[in-house]
Amino acid sequence: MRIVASDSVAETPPLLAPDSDATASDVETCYRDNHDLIVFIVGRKFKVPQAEVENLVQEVFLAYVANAGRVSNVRPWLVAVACNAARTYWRNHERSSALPHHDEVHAPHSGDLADLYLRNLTIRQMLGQLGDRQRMLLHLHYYEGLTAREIAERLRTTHRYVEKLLHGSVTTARRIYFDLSRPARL
Amino acid sequence: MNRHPDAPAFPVDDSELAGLVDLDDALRIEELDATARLAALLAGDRELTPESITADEAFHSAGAVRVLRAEAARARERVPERALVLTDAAIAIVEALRQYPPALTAMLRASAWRGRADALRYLGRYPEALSALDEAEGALELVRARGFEEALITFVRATVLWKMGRLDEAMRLAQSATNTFRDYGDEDRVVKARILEGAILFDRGEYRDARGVYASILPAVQRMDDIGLSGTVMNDIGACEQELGEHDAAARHFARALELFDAATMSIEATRTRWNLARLMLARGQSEDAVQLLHRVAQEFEASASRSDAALVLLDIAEILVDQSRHAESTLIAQSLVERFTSAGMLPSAVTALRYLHESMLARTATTATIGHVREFLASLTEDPHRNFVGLAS
Repeated sequence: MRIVASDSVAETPPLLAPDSDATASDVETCYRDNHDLIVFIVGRKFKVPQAEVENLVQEVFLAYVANAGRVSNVRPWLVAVACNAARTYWRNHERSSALPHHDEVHAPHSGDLADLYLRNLTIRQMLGQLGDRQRMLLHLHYYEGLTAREIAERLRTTHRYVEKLLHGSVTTARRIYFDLSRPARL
Repeated sequence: MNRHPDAPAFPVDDSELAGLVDLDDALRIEELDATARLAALLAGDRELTPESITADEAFHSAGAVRVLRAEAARARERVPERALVLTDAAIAIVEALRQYPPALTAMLRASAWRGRADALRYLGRYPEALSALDEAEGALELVRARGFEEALITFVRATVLWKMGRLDEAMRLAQSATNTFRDYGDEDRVVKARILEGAILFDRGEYRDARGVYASILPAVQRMDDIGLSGTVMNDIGACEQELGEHDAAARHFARALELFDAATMSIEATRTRWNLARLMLARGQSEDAVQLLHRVAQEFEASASRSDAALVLLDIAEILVDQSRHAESTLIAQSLVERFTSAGMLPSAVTALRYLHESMLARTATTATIGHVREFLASLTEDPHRNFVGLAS
């Protein structure tokens, strides 16, 4: 018979962090010491598009803050997080499919072909200005017809969270669409 | 100035850095406040429920979620019900958080669900634990820097599957966790994942390989300066050697484990090692010494309210006595077990199993197989408390 080793040695996060002064300098030191390396990994090694590099780098350091006190070997940890984040970015990017023409979207204009073309062009432009996540959510909800609960099941999260994201995505999409649709000032 | 071609496109942005430092500072302050409030709550007379925690708005912060998680991790082995309350409160709080970066909130949500899974694991509610881990993974869906938290979830999932006896799946996940922790340069967690691999190998009956795993991590364990962990690994090596029939080596490792557990004041673990030693004595033909030590072990388990372990130890004693045809003594032990289990309000099926044993002993029909059957049933109740007892076919 054994003592159940893994039961008694599971992870115990620290209750109290080191004093705030020391921690602040830890975060700052970590950031300054490793920022360039992480940017290099994400942007050069993994060739993440420029527009996304800083977002990913910030997420890496946010993960460090979230795990403060649990990281025993900072640089390898950050490198591993960065590599994983970049790979996840590419997996998500490959998965997001181009959205179809929303020719059933009702426009404030007549139904002739020119208007339809313009409307679809505007929609495509609008969708191009959305983030990957927003496009995915709108696609699942409006094109595949999934409810928030069904989306939540697919994404394995809560339906309340999906509802919040959808609301934000629709609000943003609507704003962009009408901004693009507004006649240019002469 | 000419720019080096490898220079990053984005230099350090002081405003972004200041944001991170401010966030970190805020989390620390929240943790300090939540720690004090939680200590007062735990010391108070009120029943601890998720609502009693979430009713206090001062807990509605990311720092408080971390404090609740940390306290749950500390409580899960000894008081898993409390750990469940704390993690349920953490989950409720995290759902309402709005003022933090979404990625941070998502990571906290995943951590809270993982904590719930851990508490459920200690309560033996394994299917619910797996569902909680699914929630944890789902929470990370939109976080790209999620590899570390994913590995932590994988490790807990491996542990749950191991407890459920799904050993092949557990091993695959344990090895995945080991490799990931190694990628992250996290030697401590590599050790813990390897310990799990060793435990799975042991339960597969692959004792030589299990010993190899434990022996391979000893240097790292000793570097960690955790005497309790060292004691655990020593004990596990001894258990492997015991199964391999290498009794002298097993005795040395058990003795060393006892020294370390005593130094770490890990009394329950020391008692379990004494249990191993008693079985070793029996294997060496020292049955009287074994019985004497087993009585001590049973008393120590009783004193620490580990009644089910105490019962299993008494069954070991009964088995030795039956083997030696000491029926009167073994019958007394069986009677004592029925009385203890009944008065302690233990599961009716467990009481049924012990009554069956007692009646078998009274009828002088009990054998070591009978005792083994009852022992196996009692041990199985941890995973499946609704199981019904069925006696051996006569």
